Amino acid sequence: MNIFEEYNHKMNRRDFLNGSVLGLGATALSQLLPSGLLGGEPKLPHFAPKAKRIIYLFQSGAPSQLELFDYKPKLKQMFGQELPPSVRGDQRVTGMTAFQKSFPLAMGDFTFKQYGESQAWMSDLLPYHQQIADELCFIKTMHTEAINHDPAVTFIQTGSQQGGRPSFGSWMSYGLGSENKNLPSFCVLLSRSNNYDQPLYAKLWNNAFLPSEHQGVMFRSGDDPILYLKDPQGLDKTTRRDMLDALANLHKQQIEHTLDDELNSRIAQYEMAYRMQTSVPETLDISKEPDSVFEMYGPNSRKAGSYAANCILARKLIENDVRFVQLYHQGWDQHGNLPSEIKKLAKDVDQASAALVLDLKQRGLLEDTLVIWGGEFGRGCYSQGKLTPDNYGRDHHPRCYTIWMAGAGVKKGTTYGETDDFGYNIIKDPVHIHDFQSTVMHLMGIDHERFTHKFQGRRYRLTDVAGHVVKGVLA
Amino acid sequence: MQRVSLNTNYYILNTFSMNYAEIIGRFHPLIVHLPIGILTLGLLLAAVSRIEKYEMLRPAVSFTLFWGAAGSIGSCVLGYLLSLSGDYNADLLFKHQWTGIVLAVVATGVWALYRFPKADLSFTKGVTWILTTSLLVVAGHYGGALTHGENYLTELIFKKKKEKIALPPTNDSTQVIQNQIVINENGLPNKVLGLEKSNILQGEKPQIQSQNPIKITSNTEGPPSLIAAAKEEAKPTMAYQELIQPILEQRCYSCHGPNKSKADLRLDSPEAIRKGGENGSILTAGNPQKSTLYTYLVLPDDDDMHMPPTGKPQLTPDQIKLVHAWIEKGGSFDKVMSFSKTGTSVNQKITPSVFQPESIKTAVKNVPTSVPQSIVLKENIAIKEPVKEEKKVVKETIIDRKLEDKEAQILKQKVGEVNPQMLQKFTDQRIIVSKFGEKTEYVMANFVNVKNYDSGYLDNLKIIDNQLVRLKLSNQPVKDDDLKKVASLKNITRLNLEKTLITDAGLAYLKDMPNLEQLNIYGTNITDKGLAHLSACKNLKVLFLWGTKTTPAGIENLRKILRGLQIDAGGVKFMKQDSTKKKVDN
Repeated sequence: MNIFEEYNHKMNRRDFLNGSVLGLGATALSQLLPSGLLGGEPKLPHFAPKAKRIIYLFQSGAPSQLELFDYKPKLKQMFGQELPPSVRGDQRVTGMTAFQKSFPLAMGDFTFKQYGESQAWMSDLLPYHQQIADELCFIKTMHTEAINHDPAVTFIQTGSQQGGRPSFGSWMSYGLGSENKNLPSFCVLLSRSNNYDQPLYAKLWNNAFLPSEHQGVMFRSGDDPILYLKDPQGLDKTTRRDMLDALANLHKQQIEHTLDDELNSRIAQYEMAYRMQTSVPETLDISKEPDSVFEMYGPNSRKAGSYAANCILARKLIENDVRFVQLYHQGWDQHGNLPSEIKKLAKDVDQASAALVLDLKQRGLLEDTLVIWGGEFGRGCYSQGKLTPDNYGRDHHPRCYTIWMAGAGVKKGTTYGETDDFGYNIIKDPVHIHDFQSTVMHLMGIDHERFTHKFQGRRYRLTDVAGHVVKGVLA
Repeated sequence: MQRVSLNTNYYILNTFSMNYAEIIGRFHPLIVHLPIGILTLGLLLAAVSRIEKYEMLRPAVSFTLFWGAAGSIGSCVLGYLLSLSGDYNADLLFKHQWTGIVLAVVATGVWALYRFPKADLSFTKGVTWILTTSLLVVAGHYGGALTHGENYLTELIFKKKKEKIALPPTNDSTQVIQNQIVINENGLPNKVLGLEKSNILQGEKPQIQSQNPIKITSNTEGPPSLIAAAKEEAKPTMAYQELIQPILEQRCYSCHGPNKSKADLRLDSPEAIRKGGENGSILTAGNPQKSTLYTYLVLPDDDDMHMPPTGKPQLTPDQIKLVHAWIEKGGSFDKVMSFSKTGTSVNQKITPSVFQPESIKTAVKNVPTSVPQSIVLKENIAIKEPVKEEKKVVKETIIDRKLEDKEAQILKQKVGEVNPQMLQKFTDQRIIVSKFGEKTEYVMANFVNVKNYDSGYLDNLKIIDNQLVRLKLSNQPVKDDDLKKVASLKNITRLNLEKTLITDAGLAYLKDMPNLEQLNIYGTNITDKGLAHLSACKNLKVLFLWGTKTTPAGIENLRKILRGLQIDAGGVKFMKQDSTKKKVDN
C-alpha cells in the first residue's frame, strides 16, 4: 500500500462527516466574520494601489554600478592605489578575492555626465537611459546579505537566501490574482548575452508553498513559447474540450476523497493551458508590430529571445493586464575583462529598457505599471585579478549597488541614497532587499506585514521578518 | 449639578492626611458588601426563626445582626472618607450618605432588640425589621448609582425598547435579508429609499431612527443587524450626538459624568469636553494623537492611564476608530458627517450614496450650482466650509493641477457596498470589478476579458455608479453612443478608451464628467475637433493621444485652455547614440 492509498483509506465516513461539518460551519462562519480571520485567500489590495502591474527587468550576474550609475571620480584619481583598509574594515569578500595580496582601485575610461532636469549621473555606456533620466528613480544604496549569485538572486526574488519560498511574482499572483483570465498572472522571459554565465533556476519563479497555479510561466523564445501547449495533429478542439471536462470530473471526484487542494490547482492549470492555446500565440506574436516599434527597441528586437524582443513581449503582456512580468538578462558577472564585457551588456539592455519605459508611457500604461531594473548585488571598487591600464575585473559587492524604478507611484527624476567616495559603503539612506520588496508591495497596495501565508505552522511573508517601506522613493 | 463643597472637610483633615483618608476610603466598596450580606442574613434569620421549625436558629440572630451593624458602621466611616475625594455627585452622595448612616443606626437598634429581648417589643421589632430592610435597599441602590451611573439598572431595558422603536418594521432577520436582495430599478433597497427620500428632500436634518451607535456596536455581533447596519450606513449623521456621545455615555459617564468626575473631568457635555480636566485639554480638534480623549483609549491595557480602567467595560475597536475619526475630522459637536460600516472614517462630505434614490439625483441636477452634488451636503452640514472649496478651485486654475487629487477626494468619501449579486452579474459578463482596498467599497472595472462586447454592459455599470472610479474599455468596440452611458457615471476619474471605435462626436459627451482626470484615447480616430470637446473637462490632468489624428495645433489649443494638462502624444524618437542628450518626445 503506498502512501497515497493509505491517505485515501484514512478518509473514512467519520472523517468525512467531521470534515464536512467543520466545513459547513466554517463556511457559515466565514460569512459572518471579517475576511482574513479564518485564513483563506487574502483580500488584496489592502489600500488603493498606485501600481497594478510590474515588469521586473532583472539583470542577472550583478551589473557594476560603478561603470553605469554610481559616479566615483576618486576611483580614477586613485587608480591603482590600494583601497584604504579602513574603508573595507573587516567585511568579508568572496573566496575569489579574499587571498589577493592587494586591492587596487580600478576604473576604466568611462565618461560620466548628468542628464535631464533631475541631473542624474550616468555613464556613456547608457546613451538611451540618458534620454529617459527624468522618468527614472535611482536607488544607489541597495544592499544585500548574500555574497554569491544563487543566494543573492534567491534573496531578492523570494525574500530568503535559501530556496523554498515563493517568488515575488508568485506572491503578487497569489495576492492580487490575474486580471486577464487567458494569460498567466506571472510570466517569465529569459535572455542571455553569453553562452556561458551564471545559471538561473526555475526555483526563482517557483510558487513554493503557494498554490501551484501561481508559479511563474516561462515563455521560450521562438515558435513554441510553451512546450506541449499545441494540440497534437488530428486532435480537434471539441475532443480536447471533452477530454479536459472528463479529466476535471475525475479530479473533482478525487478531491472529495482526498481534500487535496493541489487538485484544484491542477484543474485551474489545465483550464489555463486550454485558454492559452489561443491567447499565447496571439499575444506573443510580435511579427505584426510596426517597424517603428522595432526601431524604437533597437536592432536586436527582431531577434526572438533577445532582451529587446523580450521587452516588446513584456509590453504586450502588460497591455493585456498580466500582473507580473519577470525578465532575466544574463551575463553581467564580469570578474575579468570588465571594461569590454560591460559594453556588450550595456548595449544589450540600454536601448530596449529605455524604449520599454517610453513605450509604456505613450500608451498610458506607465500610469499603473511599475518597471524595475537591477541585479542581485553590486561589484567591488577594487580590481579582481591583475590590474592593467585598460583591463580589470570586479568581484561581488553586496554592500551597495544601484537599481532604478520607473512608473506608477515612483518619484521620477530622483536619486535616493548615497555611497562613499569609493562606492564601497553606504553613507546615507540604505535600502535593504526587504525594504525594496516592501516598498514595491506598498506601491501595489499591499501592507507587506499583513500579506502572509500559513505553511507548516508558521506565517510566511515575502519580507520574512523585516522590511520598511522607503518613503523617499514614493511619488 | 453641584459638587460637594470641600471647605468644611478641610477644617477636619488637612490635605496631607486626606491622601491617607482617601486610600482607606477606597476600601468602602469592598467593605460595604459585608453588612449588606450579613444584615440580609440576619434579617432573614430573624424572620424565619419565628417559625417553630426554625426555632433553633434564634441564637444566631443577634450574633449575625451584631456583625451586620458593626459592618454598616465601618462602612459609613470608610464611605465618609471616600466622599472626601469630591469626585461624586453631591445630590446622590447626600442621599447615599444619610440613608447609610440611618441604616447603621437602625441596624444597631435591631441588633439591640434581639440581643436584649423583651416580650412586649415584638411590634417594634417588626417595624425596625421592615425599616432596616428598606434602608438597606435604598442605601445600596444609591451606592450603586454613584458607582455605575444612575441609569445603570434601567438602561438595558430602556435600550431594548428604543431599539424596537428604532428599527424599521422589517426587524425580522429573514425579511431584512430579503430587503437587501430585492433591488428596485435604481439598484436600491426599497426600504432605505423611503427613509432617505423623506429626510433629504424635505431638507430636514436627518432623523436618525435606528442609528443608535449602541446598536451599531451590537450589530457587529450578529448577522441580521449587520445587514441592517450596512443598509443604514450611507446615512448622514450628527456625528457627535449620534455616534460619539452615546459611546461616551455608555463607557465614560459613570466616572466622568454627572455622578462622578474623576480627574475633575466630565464628558457629558460639549462644554465640559472642551474644558478638559485637571490635566488640561483632552481634545485637540483634527489631531487625535494630541487628544488624550483618544490616546488614553489606545494605551496598553496595563498602563495606568488606559481608559476605561482595567476591569471596566472597554470600548470596541470600532468605537475607538470612530472616536479617532471624529477627532481627526475636527471633533465638531454640531457637524453632520456620515460614517462607514467599517467604522474607520467619518467624512464631512455627504455624497450621494448607493442608497440615494433617483429622485434625489434629479433634485441635485436641478439646482443651478457649480457643485452639483452638494445639495445633500448643504442641507445637512450645519457648518459649511466653503473656504476650503474655494481654495482648491484657485489652486486648480493657477498652479498646475495635481494628479489624483480628485480621485483621492472621491476615495475619501464614504459609499455603500456593491451588492454581491450584482458582482456576480459582472463576473458572468467577464467584467472585472476590483476594489481599491479592503476598507473601501470603491471599485475599478476592466473589460479586458470581455468577449462579445455589447453596449448593454455599460447599463449595468450604472448599478455601481457610486462606487465605480476607474473604467477600462480598451480594445473593445466602443462606439460614440456608448460614451453617453459612460459619461453618466459620475465618479469616473480614469477612463481608458484606447483602440476603441470612438470618434469626435463621442467625446462631446465626456464634458459631463466632472471628475475625469485621466483619459486615454490613443489609437482612435479622434481629430482636433474631438479634442476641442475635451476643453470642458475641467479636471482633466493627463491625456494620451498617441496614434490619433490630432495635430500639434489642436493639442496646443487644448493646452491653452486646460492649463497644466499633461498631454502625451507619443511617437518616441531617440537621439542617435553619438549625438548629445535630450530626447525628442511628443
